[in-house]
Amino acid sequence: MQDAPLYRDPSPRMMDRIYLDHAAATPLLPQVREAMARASEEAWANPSSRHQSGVRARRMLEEARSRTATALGVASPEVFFVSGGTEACNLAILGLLHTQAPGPSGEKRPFALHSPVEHRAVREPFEQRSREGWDIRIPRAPFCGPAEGDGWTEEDLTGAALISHIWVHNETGAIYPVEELSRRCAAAGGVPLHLDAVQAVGKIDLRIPDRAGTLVSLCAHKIGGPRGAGALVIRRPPRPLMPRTVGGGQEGGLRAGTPDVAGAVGLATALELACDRREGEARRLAPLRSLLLALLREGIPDLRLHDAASDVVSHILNVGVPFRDGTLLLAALDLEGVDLSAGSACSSGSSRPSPALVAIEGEEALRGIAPLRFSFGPTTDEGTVREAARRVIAVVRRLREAERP
Amino acid sequence: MSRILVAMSGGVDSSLAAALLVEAGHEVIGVTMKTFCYQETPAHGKTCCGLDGILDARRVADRLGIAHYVFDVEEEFTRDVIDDFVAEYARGRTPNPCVRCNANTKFRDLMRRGRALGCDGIATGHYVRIARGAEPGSATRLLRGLDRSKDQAYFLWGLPPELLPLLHFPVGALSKAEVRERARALGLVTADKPESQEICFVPDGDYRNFLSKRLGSDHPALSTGRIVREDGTEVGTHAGYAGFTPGQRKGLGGGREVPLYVIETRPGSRDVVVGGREALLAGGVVVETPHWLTPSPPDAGEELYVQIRHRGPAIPARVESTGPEELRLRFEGPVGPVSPGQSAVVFREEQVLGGGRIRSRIPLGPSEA
Repeated sequence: MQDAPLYRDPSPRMMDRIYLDHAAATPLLPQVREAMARASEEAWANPSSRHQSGVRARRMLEEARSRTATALGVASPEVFFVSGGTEACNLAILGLLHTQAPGPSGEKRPFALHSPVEHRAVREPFEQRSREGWDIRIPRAPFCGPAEGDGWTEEDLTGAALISHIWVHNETGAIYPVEELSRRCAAAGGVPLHLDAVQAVGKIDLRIPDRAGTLVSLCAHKIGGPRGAGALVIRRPPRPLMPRTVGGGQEGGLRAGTPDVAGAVGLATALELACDRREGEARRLAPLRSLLLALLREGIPDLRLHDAASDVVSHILNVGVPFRDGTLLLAALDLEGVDLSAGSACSSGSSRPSPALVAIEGEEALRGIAPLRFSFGPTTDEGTVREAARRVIAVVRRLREAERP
Repeated sequence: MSRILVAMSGGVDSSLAAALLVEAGHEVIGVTMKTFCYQETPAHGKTCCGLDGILDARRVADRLGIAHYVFDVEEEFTRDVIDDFVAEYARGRTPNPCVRCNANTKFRDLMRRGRALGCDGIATGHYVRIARGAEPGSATRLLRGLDRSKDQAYFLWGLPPELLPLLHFPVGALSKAEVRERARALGLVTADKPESQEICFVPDGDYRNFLSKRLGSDHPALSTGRIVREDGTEVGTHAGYAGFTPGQRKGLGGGREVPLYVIETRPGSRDVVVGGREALLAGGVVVETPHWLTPSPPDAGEELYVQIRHRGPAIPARVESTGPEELRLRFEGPVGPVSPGQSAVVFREEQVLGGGRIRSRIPLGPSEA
């Protein structure tokens, strides 16, 4: 078999691992697996087919849409199924900012705006439009509340074709006051607002602004649903969006392609479960987060806490270890069986911190610091946290010892 | 069973090196170095930062069932390799950055990290061999690769000698054809990957552009100057002495009765001196601050072999004098061209004794010794 590994790995690396990277992905919930299996067994036909077999699939798809809408507090026609959070963000941003050549000199270039702490799935579509001539403005700091000025005033927002802001930050867990931002966008003449809610759904009490033209991106695999399933919510009446994938008219013409019915069912099921358990989980995880921070600080006295000033979700903890070589630290932690993440500037694995973290903490403060993100989920308990702290502290001590001349 | 770090570039040699070590029962950790970030990458398809190499190495690691990590060595690499590369060109010399990388980043700096991860050895896909001492306490020797056409001893003279006992070179006893064959047999995706001809931090091969960004486009090394004969006659102009190395014919203009070759560059005047083929020949070479891999370096009078160019043969030579500052070697017969900044690597039979950077040539004529 070509794809199987040639040699059995003699090291015990896969046994006894501590998984604390739930913000990247979290195990599929059993109810989700069952619901998706049923969908695949019973409703495998093409939902676009006119015959009864197709109708059965279409009904299941629409039921998933309806359940998703209810869980999010929106209406069914406002929910569009896509392949994940990244596709949802791309559809919203690239779709709303139609390709436009820069105007002749003297004519004001069309502009749009996003925070300096966006995920790549938002940043890069904007970068693409920027290369095509759009004026993409990025305020120095994220939007933090009614007092926020400096790039976020009503005047700054007026005339924008689109504003995009992350709701809950994927690296630090910070919760941004997007309801207030939405009010400001309305006051600025009804500027469309896109919200990356990938880390927010099922974690905070999500109130999607009901202002027309609001767009919200989300996905399933951070809440116990399958990878490859997401949704874009577009509040009615919508601004026109240019579809990215054409050739079939599905999803109201917005996103062609045979819908992933099982994926949609998985998303709906995961969303319902996550909303049901949200408060309980938040209450359960908050003390675990505090415990982890306390244990780490005890073992690593010069540990930094990132974005300490913000209101944060209880399932994400971002700290900084004063250690020059972040890539080495992560490798050592991996060999010790600890699954974590560190926001990095690019996919090749550089030691440089992500632009988002730099915007929050500042370049100077991050010099010589290796950021580590711990994120919790349903399988996390006190034992997980204590063992993680023990291993991380041991690794950091060992690496620092090795550095000493 | 030991834990060995294998530096995996994503090429077939290091891929097979990793496979052979796993086959031999070692616990292998694959590592790819991130040496450089080419931030100005346009979005049209060209990959930056050697991402291709990283992805290929990762796929091979997956196939072998071993861990793979990317280590960010940009800071050390910039300091030890790139800065030196730029400085050498500015001085009118021809650098060899791979030599600097092997002497600093790829072995010493990687091994330091490897030790922190519990590794007790380090391996690469270089075509060289290690001969471990027969008795404890006897020195480990570095030997040339068995396939002389692929031998890479030329790039490894700068290894820290204390690391020799920790080194593994699994492919050094194989021919290139055997390497590809065995890689194919194992289903490694890199089995038929073409060899990279470019320096890793100048992936588009545009050295002039690279130097111009670091030195400034008005630096003397990149400014116009004269092309002159040894007697001072001007025969043309050039666009920057950084583009020339002794023995070169390209860039001098053609259409002459007798072909002209670059003899030397003179940074002070920005002149590039040219002459006929005979003018390239030297009687010997002066090597600056020689570095030895053996506890018994050669004495004055010893006969050995020296390689002064990667693609060149090992030439018979005699040690005229040796000391910490300088090693003077006399060739058996006239040899050229000699390029200051390139390496001179010294052999005793198969063994790599050491080497250093070429400071200058010794002209043809009777020996001073």
